[in-house]
This record gives sequence, structure tokens and C-alpha cells, in this order.
Amino acid sequence: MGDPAFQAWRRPDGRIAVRNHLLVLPSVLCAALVAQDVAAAVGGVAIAHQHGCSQVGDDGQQTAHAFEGIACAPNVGAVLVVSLGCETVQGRALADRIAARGQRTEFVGIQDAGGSDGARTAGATLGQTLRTELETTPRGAASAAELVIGLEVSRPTPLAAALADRARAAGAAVLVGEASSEMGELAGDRVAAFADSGRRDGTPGDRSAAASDQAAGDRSAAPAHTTILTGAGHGAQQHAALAADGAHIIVSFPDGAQPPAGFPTCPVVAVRTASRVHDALADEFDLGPDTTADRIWQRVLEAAAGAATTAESLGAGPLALPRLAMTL
Amino acid sequence: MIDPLFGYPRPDGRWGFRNHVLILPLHTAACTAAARATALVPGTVTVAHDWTGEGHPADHERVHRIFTGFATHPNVAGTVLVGLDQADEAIAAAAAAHGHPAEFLSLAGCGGSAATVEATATIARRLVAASTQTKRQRAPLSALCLGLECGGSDALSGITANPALGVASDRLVAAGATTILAETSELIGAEHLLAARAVSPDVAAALLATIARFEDAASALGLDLRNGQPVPGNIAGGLTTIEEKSLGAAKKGGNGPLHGVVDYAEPIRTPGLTVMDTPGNDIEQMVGMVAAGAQVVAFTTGRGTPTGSPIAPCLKIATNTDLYARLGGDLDLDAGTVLAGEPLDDVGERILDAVIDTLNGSPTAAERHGNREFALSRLHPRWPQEQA
Repeated sequence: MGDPAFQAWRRPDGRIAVRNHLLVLPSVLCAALVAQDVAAAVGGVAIAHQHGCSQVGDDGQQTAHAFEGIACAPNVGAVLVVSLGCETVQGRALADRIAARGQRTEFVGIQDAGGSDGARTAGATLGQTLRTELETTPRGAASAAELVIGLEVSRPTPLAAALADRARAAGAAVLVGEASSEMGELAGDRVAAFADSGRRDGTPGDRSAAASDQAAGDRSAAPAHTTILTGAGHGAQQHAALAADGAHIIVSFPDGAQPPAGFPTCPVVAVRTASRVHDALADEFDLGPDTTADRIWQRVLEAAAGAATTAESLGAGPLALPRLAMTL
Repeated sequence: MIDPLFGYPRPDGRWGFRNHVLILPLHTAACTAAARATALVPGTVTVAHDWTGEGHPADHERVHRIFTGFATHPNVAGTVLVGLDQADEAIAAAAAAHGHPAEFLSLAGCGGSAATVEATATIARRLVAASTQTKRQRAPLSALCLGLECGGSDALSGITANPALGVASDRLVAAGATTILAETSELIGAEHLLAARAVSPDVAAALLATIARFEDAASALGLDLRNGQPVPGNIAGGLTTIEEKSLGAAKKGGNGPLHGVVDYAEPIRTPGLTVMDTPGNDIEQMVGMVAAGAQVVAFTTGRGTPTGSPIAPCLKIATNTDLYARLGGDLDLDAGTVLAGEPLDDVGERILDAVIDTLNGSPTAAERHGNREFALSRLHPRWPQEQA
């Protein structure tokens, strides 16, 4: 391939990482403020969300799987789970499942730690330890063929399809958030359910097995493919799905009526349409409506090499997860 | 004798007991700009949420009620509404109809987030300056709306803190105030007791219909309520069934008559004990009661939780003394003393005094910590996929 190598971190399972985040993950909204305070104290990123309690059946499971996937994504080097204690998505069990997938994980519970002040103190100590460990993450040359690119599409367009082709030509894997049943030229060769990647052997989108083969020198073992993620919903919900299924970088093609959004652990490269809303928010995008797949790909490679995207400069808003049922 | 109450009179006739300036994003994309403006202007508060303007019509209405309820809340002296574009201005019109100082701007109208942050901060500074002109005055007890809540319940909730809070609720209602009993999922199994206290057959029928609708909605989704309730912390705290949890939860509403039943976040027009149809989820419940006009929330807990509301003080009451000793920093009162022999009426009296103190300006633990949790409750979270 003609794409230049870039410097990236490498995880123990062989995957590359284009960011080396310490994720402070609240298992429930009630723990979000403590998580945010701990992240601010130790230089981590916290996720703000409104989920984690009074969710029944598949809905609670799906939320837990999404948290798990986001925490195990390659750009996350270590995770501190902050729990309240009585929530439906039990923080301790969540931390155990994240750790079982090979992620460096610590846990603090508000009810166990003598309340929110105790949890802030204990969380900051644990977070500092993780932060220090992250300094020693190995870093070296990586190729575009090791990237997993997530595409957030409100409706499939020729430009998004051309970008998917460009990424595949470079050997990268492509994840597409399913926006409608009519995926047109974006049809993938594999299909995965929301936040399922890595939870089952051989699930498409899970590059860890392929990446291990790559590390062993067999680059042909990682054929580029396009995976369609089902059940991801739209917009920001797709970001969560793409991150949970292992995307390094998200390329966002929001609908003309919707603004671009960032994601806490993934650089987002946002491509504008010629709509009234997008025109007014032109500064919030990385690329204009007349851009090409080559130029988007160039921006992806710059982000992979460390350049901050516009969304990273502006800061990410609240996480949105697809939900299967009302909160009880 | 209930201590005198001092609050801020508002243009729509209601009384506030805090004097916040609220920066309210109307679209998830406006949350970051709202947070940045809030950080620039002391005296302002904001919320974060994931609303994109896309949802089932019933959820549009629900979210509209929440936004309008917050934007015009009596504890809020003025509101800056930050939309995505002009389409979000409808909420501003609803706020203006209350005579409430509310100003609207949008990301698209300002031309991006930097300009939006600057314009929002400028308006917010003006609203904060104006808010300081309003002074507390003697307020009637009938001005008061108290939200009753329990979260992280344990086996003592129904014996100590909840019945003690019920004593306070009965006293306030007798003095002309409004109290809200919510958490429909946690009234299941206790509805016959509440229906028997209804002031009219219509109110009794409305209560039973609310419970039945909730159970139907859950079973239509193929859900077993017992799967979600009691939650893991309740079980660890000794609760075994949803009925047991409910019988304890309903005691927060005391023993007096049930005056009315309202929908989620629906403004309450007549005083007295009112049941609101909300989820059991702590935050969604609190948002609904506050949006309806509750100026203060009394929240009993057996497991301990730090949460609060962005615009209403939330008073935490421990159900057991051990919890109060361990998590005292997040709690305001200990009702576990009932087990050591303190009469329920006395504990209820202490809660009542603390509610009045809080309303008069004394900060709660959640306010001291800056806990301002917020969530948008939805009836149809799978929209539009659920149509397929």
C-alpha cells in the first residue's frame, strides 16, 4: 500500500491504538459526577450518560454490553469503573467482565467507599496508578492496514461508499452503523449485532485475532472487510456502536438536519453536507460537502498519527445508547 | 407549629426557594456549549442529555413538558434556552407564556459553538444580575410542592424513613401544601390502599388506571417487572419482592387523602397529596416531579446515593443509622433512630423542620457536592425502529 506508516500504541493483544485513553466509566448515571471529577483529577476521559438503572431484560444487557465494548476498544488503555452499588448494571460485575477480556481495569464503588467523597479519593488514587502505567504503553510504527474505521451514515451516499472502498483498499477494516435497510453501495460482507464484537468468537469486527496474526508476521490473515452493525440507531447512537465494536476512528456523515458530535474515546472526522444547519456550523466539521474520499482518508491518517480532529478540540457531549425498552 | 417559609415570588404566582439561572440545551449538540457557558458565569446551572429532536410523538410531548417545566420552574429566576436551530424555539414560546424571563438562541443562529458560548454567557450574566434584585419574602405553606422519593431502598425503608416522611407529608398537606408520590413501578401491590384514600371515585379510578397501564406496557414489551424490581441493591438490603418494596414505598405518602393523579412531568393544579406516573428510576422520577413544579425533594435511602437535581434541593434521609454513619457526607438526616425508640412523629417533625430549613436556603449534601443529575424519560426508546 502507498499509505505511510504512523506511530501508534500497541495493546497486549496486538491491536494498535491511535489514542491512549484512561477511561473513567460510570456504570450508572448516579456515579457520573464522581467519575467526571476523578477523570478531571487524573487526566482521564469520563463518559456522561443517563443509563444503568431500572433497565430490564435485554435492555439492561445491551447497555452492559455497550459499556463493556467501549471499555475494551483499542483506544482505551485502561479503565476505572465507578459504581454506585445498588444499580441494575452492576459496576463490580461490569469491571470483572471488562478485565476478563484482557483490559487493565480497576473498580471503585460509592456505597463501598464511604460515599461520594471517599470514592473520589479512592478513585483518584487508582486512576493515578493507571495513568502512570499508561505512560509505558509500547509505541511504534503502524500501518493503515491495522486500522478499524467506523462510518456513521445517516443515509448511504456515494461519498461514504467511496471512502469505505478507499479504506478497504488500504487494508483497513470498515464498520458501518446501519442507518436503514437500504444500504446500497455500503452493503457489507459481514453483519454484527450492536455491541456484540469480541463477546463471541469469530464475531466480525473483532480484529484482535487477526491482529495477533499480523503481529506474528502474517499480514494476509487480516483481509479487509466491511461489517454492518445492526440495531445501532442513528447519529450519536452509531458512535457508541462503532466504538463498542472496536473502531479506532469514526468518520461521520450526519444528516443535514443534525449537527456533528464527538465521542470520548475515538477521534471523529466529520463531513458536512450543504444544508442550512451544516452551513451555519461549518466550523464544527473537518471537511466540506465538496470533499473527496481521498481527502477524507488523508484526514483519517492524520488523525491516526495524532492530529486532533475538530470534535476532539470541541469536546464530546453526552453518550447516547440505543435502548430496547422504557426505564422502569 | 411549622416554621415560617421565605421564598421568591414569581410572575406566574408560584414561589421559588432557590434563585438559579438555568442554561438549558434543547438538543444534545448544544450541551457542550451550554456547559462551557455555565462554567463562565457563576450562579448558573445546566443539564446534559441525549435528545436529538427525533422521537415518538408521545415522547416529543413528554420531553417538551420536561423542558418547559424546567425552563419556567419557580426555583429558576431566568433561563437561557440553547437550541440547535430556530425549530427549537417553540419551548421558548411556552416559557414566555408563563411570564418567565427566558431567552432563546441557537447554534445555527449564532454560527457555531464559540459564538454560542459567548452569546449564552452574555445573556446569562444579565439574568444573574437581574435575579439578585429579587429578595426572599414570607411565603404561604400552600406555595410549597414537595417531591417524595425513595431510592436504594432496604428492608428498613418501609419501617423508618418512609413512614416518617409520610408524617411530614401529612402535616404539610394539612397546611395546604402539595406533595407528590411517584414511582408507579413501586406502587404496584399497594394500589388498593391508595385507591381507598382517594377523595373521589374519579381519582381512585385514575390511580388504578395508571397502575394498570404501566403493567400493560411492561407486559406488552414481554417484560417481567420482577426482573427489574427489586434492583440488586434492594435485594442486598433485605427486600424480597416488588410488593414488599411497594408497601414500604407508598408510606412516604402518609395516611391522608389522595387528592389527584397526574401524568409524568404534568403541572399540578390542585394542592394535596398527588400521585405522579413516573418510572422507579431515581433520576427520571426526580426530573418528572421537579418539572411539575416541586421546589424540594425529600429522598429516603437505605443504600445511600449522592444524587440531586440541578434546580431543586434534594434532602437525603437514611433509613438506618449504620448507613448514616458510613455515608454521612452524602446524607442529611438519620431516620434509623426509629429503631432505637424515637417516635415516628418526632422523626417526621425533624424531617419537616429540615425541609423548611432547606427551602429557606440551607444547602443539602447534594447541593454542597454539586450533584445535578438529569435524564430524559422516554416511553418509546426504540422509535423509529419499533415501527418496523
